[in-house]
Amino acid sequence: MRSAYGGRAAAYEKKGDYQKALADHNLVVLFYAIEIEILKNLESADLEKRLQETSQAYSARGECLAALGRQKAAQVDQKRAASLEAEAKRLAQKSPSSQEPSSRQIQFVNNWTEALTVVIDGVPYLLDVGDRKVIPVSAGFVAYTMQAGTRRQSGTVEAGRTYTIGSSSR
Amino acid sequence: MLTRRVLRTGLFTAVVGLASGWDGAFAEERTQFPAAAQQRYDQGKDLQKKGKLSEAIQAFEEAMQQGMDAYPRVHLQRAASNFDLKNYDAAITQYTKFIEEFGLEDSCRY
Repeated sequence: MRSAYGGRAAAYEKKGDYQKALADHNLVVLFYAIEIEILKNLESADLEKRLQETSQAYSARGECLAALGRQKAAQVDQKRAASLEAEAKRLAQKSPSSQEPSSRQIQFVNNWTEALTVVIDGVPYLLDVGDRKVIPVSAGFVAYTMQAGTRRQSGTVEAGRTYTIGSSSR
Repeated sequence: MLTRRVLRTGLFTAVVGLASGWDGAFAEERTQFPAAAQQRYDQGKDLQKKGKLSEAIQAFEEAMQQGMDAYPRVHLQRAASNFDLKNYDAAITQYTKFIEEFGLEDSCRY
């Protein structure tokens, strides 16, 4: 939904209708703000990427506010964007991207050409293109279901391993 | 040392149906579409990546006509292609249609 509101906001801006664009930007920021709070509570691996996206959402709204002559509000959004960007960078430095998953984790790397969702124990994990995600699991083999667009496959994966979803054999 | 295993995407061609035990929130997204529609959608994405936006839009619209109208992503792809073509009115119309028709529950992941 935020893609649709964000896309429409950009289109409104191209047409010079900044008031309508601002209304859509407000919703995009709201969606991201809610998601960030949820991800923080869950200590989700998605948090770093969402922080970056939220930063971009604030920055985009800030530009829209500036175009409307609301400079103070624009500055608030740009400061918030910078703060979120810094938070994302701090998180990236702690990222387990170069670490081997433990015996109770599985790491997925999405080298596929589009975003996909891996479901483990009923919990969906979204991996955007290029994402690397460590998922907590019980030890041993666990069932998974993976979906990319309309494609879906199921099987088992083993804890402690890294699985790369690639495009080489397509 | 990282243990790496590649989940070959060729396996994706062996698409399976919705698992009966699938969790409700995720199972709501329809994933089975007519093969011809799926093919046109994939062609549309390839055309979009190549910058052939008008052809991509045509492919997305044909995919919808052939049975993918209920698939949110095809609507977003079409709107984005119109935006990139600077067809801003069309993009706004299509994004609005997406927002109104799919609503939050059917499109919250996009």
